[in-house]
Amino acid sequence: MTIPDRALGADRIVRETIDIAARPEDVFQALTDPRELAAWLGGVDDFAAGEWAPDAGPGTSWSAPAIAPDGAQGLVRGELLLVDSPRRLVSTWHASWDHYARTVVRYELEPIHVGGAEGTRVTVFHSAPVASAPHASAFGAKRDSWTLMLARLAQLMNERLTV
Amino acid sequence: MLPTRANTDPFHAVSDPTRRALLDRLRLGAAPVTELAAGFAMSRPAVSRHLRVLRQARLVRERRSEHDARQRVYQITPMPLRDVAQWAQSYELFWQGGLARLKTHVEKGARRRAREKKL
Repeated sequence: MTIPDRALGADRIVRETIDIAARPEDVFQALTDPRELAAWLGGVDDFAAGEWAPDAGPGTSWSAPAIAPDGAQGLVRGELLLVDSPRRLVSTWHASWDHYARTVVRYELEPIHVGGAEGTRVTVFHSAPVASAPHASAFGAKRDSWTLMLARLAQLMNERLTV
Repeated sequence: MLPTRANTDPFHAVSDPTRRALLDRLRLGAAPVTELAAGFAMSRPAVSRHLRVLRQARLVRERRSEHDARQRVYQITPMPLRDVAQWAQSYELFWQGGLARLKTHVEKGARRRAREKKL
């Protein structure tokens, strides 16, 4: 089955990147191992996992503790949409602090060199809560930068508000 | 007919790259649909449909041109985008923190494995 790119989070709003001095395989494991996920996402070191095996492939449901944007302890639930080890991982993402609204998170892992050693560039795309995905536009879908556009629009809003 | 929730939702409206590009263009100033359509490789009716979605989400409004009363122009009204911008901003901070913790976590493990290999 081919999942439309849109369902995989093509309409991302947030995009963040980081370079890590470890192999893509090690990074991918940290994204999919319940204990490792709980450790970095939720700051929880003694997570009693074992109910879910995220490498089971698309359709697998998972949950993990997560540190909410306000610093409080939260919870994230999701369902894996695409598991392409060690390059891509796409999952629905329902966060407790976001009223468990359906969003989509997509990780892309790219092998790089960090100080002469194997490294990984991790990019995360997070798409907005969209109730129903519209039909993909066949036209004009050139790459745009959400963050830039929103920043400019926010600036515009502030200008309007202060006039 | 009342618009459905999805049609008035600003998240839905900006989920499409063409509509984001239209908003980006309108940021520079009001424009008639003919001018907007000229900037995209799509038909004018297709652009009109996108503009309708933006109008329903109250992200643009239609008004008469100041220069030619027969012509209608679209103008950006970005207030509903505040929710979208706030959502994006909170997740930007979330992922900046999250990826930094991922890096610390994975690099710690990589160093431990490297030490174990040497022993």
